[in-house]
Amino acid sequence: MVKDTQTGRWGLSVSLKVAIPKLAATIRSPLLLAAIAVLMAACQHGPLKSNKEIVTPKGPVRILVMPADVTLYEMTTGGLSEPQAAWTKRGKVNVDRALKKVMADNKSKAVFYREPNPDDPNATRQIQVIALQDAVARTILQANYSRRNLGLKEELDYSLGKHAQALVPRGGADYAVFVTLKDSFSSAGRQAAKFMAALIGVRMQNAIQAGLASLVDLRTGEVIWFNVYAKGIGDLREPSGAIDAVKTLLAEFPLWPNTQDEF
Amino acid sequence: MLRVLAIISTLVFVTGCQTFQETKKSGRISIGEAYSIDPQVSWRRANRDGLEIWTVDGPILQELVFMKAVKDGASLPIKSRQSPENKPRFNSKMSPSEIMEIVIASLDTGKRGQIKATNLRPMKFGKAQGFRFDISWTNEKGLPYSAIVAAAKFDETLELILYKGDSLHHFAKFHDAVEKMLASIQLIKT
Amino acid sequence: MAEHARRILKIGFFFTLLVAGGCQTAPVANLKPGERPNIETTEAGLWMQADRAEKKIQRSGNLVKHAGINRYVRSIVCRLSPDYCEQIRVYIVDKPGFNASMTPNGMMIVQSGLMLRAQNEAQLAFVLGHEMAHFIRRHTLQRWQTVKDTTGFLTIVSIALGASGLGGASPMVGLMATGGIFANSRDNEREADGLGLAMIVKAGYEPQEASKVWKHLLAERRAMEDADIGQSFFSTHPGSEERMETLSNLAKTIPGAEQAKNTNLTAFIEAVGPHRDHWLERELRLGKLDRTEVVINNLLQQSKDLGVLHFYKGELYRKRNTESDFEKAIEAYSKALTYPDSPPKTHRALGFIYRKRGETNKAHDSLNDYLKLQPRADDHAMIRHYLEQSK
Repeated sequence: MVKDTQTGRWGLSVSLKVAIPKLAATIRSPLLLAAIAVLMAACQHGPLKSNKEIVTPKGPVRILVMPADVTLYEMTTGGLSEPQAAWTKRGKVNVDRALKKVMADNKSKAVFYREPNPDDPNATRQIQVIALQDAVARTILQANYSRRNLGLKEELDYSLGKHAQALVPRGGADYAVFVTLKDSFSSAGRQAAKFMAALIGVRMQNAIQAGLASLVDLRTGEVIWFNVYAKGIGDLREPSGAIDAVKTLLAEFPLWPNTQDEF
Repeated sequence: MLRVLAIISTLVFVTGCQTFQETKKSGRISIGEAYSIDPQVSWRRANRDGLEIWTVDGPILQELVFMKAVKDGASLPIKSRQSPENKPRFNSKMSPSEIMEIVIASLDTGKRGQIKATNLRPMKFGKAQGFRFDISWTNEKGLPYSAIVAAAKFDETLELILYKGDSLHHFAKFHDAVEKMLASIQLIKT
Repeated sequence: MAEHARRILKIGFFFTLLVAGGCQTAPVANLKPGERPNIETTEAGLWMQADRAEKKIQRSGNLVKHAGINRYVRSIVCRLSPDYCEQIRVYIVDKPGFNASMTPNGMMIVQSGLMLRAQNEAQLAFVLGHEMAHFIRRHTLQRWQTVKDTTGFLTIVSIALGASGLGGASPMVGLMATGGIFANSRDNEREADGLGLAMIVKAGYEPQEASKVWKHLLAERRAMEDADIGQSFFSTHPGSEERMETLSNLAKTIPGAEQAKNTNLTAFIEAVGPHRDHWLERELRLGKLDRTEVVINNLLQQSKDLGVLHFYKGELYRKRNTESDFEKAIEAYSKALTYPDSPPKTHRALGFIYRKRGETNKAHDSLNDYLKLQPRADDHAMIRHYLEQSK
């Protein structure tokens, strides 16, 4: 029965792609949500850390916070993810504040990335570095979090190269963190449908919260930490919910002392 | 799920159920039945009929592709946007200029912008007379890529090597190694 | 019997909920100039995603940044609608094939393949106006609403059918739903055609040019042996024959048609002419030779850029690669050389064909001519090698 519901959805997803060009890719399949839920059944769980020694500078560490990719959705009765502008705006504000607070609590300084002026000679290079980070993130997902073992390397040994320095703002920064967060909430119709489905013993896909983050050493371009998570609870619309999400996302962040013992 | 599929389908070349294996040995490696090559570094290799893909950091970042014994009338094993009937095909009478043309046509999938092929020149492919050229493009996110192609015709078939990587870091990472590899080509048949 | 009755009751219960959930689409009003949706609405969510897509396009390697052609297309948009001119951004992407689209936030994407196929400014203006109509009439929002309602309906029905024990979702239900989505799309297309036509007439363009756009696309489509479904223009802009006739009839009766006669051919050629070489090269790479032949023949009718056009005719024959095609290719390249705008690579192309046919002296001459015109050509090392070889 679930298969039929999914077939209905899948079949329509294809038609959607045809019927709503250009928008389809951004609406139909939110970047992480559905995928992460599947991925969580795969081999790697939790954060990845580089083998290399991390030398933290004296004084507070300056972390460049790249624009967090935050999107909040409502899951419709039919299982579509409808992007919500008002929720997203709130969520983004909450996430930015949460990042600043969590970093400050750990004696790091959050420096928020600013879009360069179009005539900035560094502007193109910055776009390229951001695009490379995206390619590296996709590769890490492929190598470590994919359901199928593709035989790619299992260690976190990736670099953006020396061009990463193009991101360093005038005031300076030691590291850069790239964050993606998505959160989804079932509509009333969806909740009703789930309830009805449950009555006949059918499980329907839940709305989830998912996140992805990577940490880059701006001097060398090395990716020194990477994490992906998905969970069925949480609410980025609430400041406390955003703090919870950021804490979950930045688990075992290498720049801060761990609360757990390491072996 | 869709995202995972999207990730896997960004592999340039048709891999199907392809998985990579680490190269354990360090000696020369035979590419099909035509030539052998000195790998220089420990590549991860995915292997099947007609095609081998080698990488260290992952195919999205850098890829070394061996197209093995492409037959007269066959299309190149590159995932392209043309339907099978429209895919450009290798013809054993083709000149290097025309082969360069079909490589570019196969790479021009709509997601690569400003594809430029330059510096087409003769090259020794082992002892055989071959040719090489350079390619560059920029992807949809604005990331520039560089590539080199080395190839030679043998009777009715084509042997082709393509090395690609992002221009910021991963192409340069093994560019020297790949040049040494090309210089190390030894033909198996004489 | 009791079991059956229970099932019927269950179905009834679920369908009541379905009806209560509602699957009516409220009629949508025009977007007013400068209007932005309230941030709490579904529409605002679509704008948000469109804004993100726009940021991505700005970084794409395929974006055509040439100032002149962008200025030209913008000027047409503003002529069509001074009211909406400010809030529409046009992005030209270097991509073969006829297609254009518009997102709810005012971003229009025009493929270079479309600009290649337009024969004059009136035809281009019609397509731009058609896309603007989608924007003004909020068609994306309408379609999203339909899809949302339809998928919701499907989900409920699936559950209901499951509850009733009637088995999985009937394929009929799926078909009904898909039909629902496309039917809406066809209505939207007709509406956009009508509005687009009204817009070009108001701006003084010859209305009969509108139906010619579809006429040429149809001719292209017929030239193809395989039905090209996929992501082509036709999948989202269906029913070309019907639309061609509707537009042709409308053009006769629409008020203002007698005074509207502009095609602005000169300005159009001045703007697009310099790009045709590159656009045709990309078009040919698709490998759809029959379709590309229709496009080139259409352009030849205008008697502009004949050097470039005849060169690409030659390229077409060369790629077809049969014996008789070589003769035709040589003829086309030679014809191209009689015009001042023939590209230097015409000599190279001739040289290669002569080489293939063993006409060494002719090959030599042609390749030398090429190198004289482009001594630092991208393949000059290889060409010199060919010349060495043949000595």
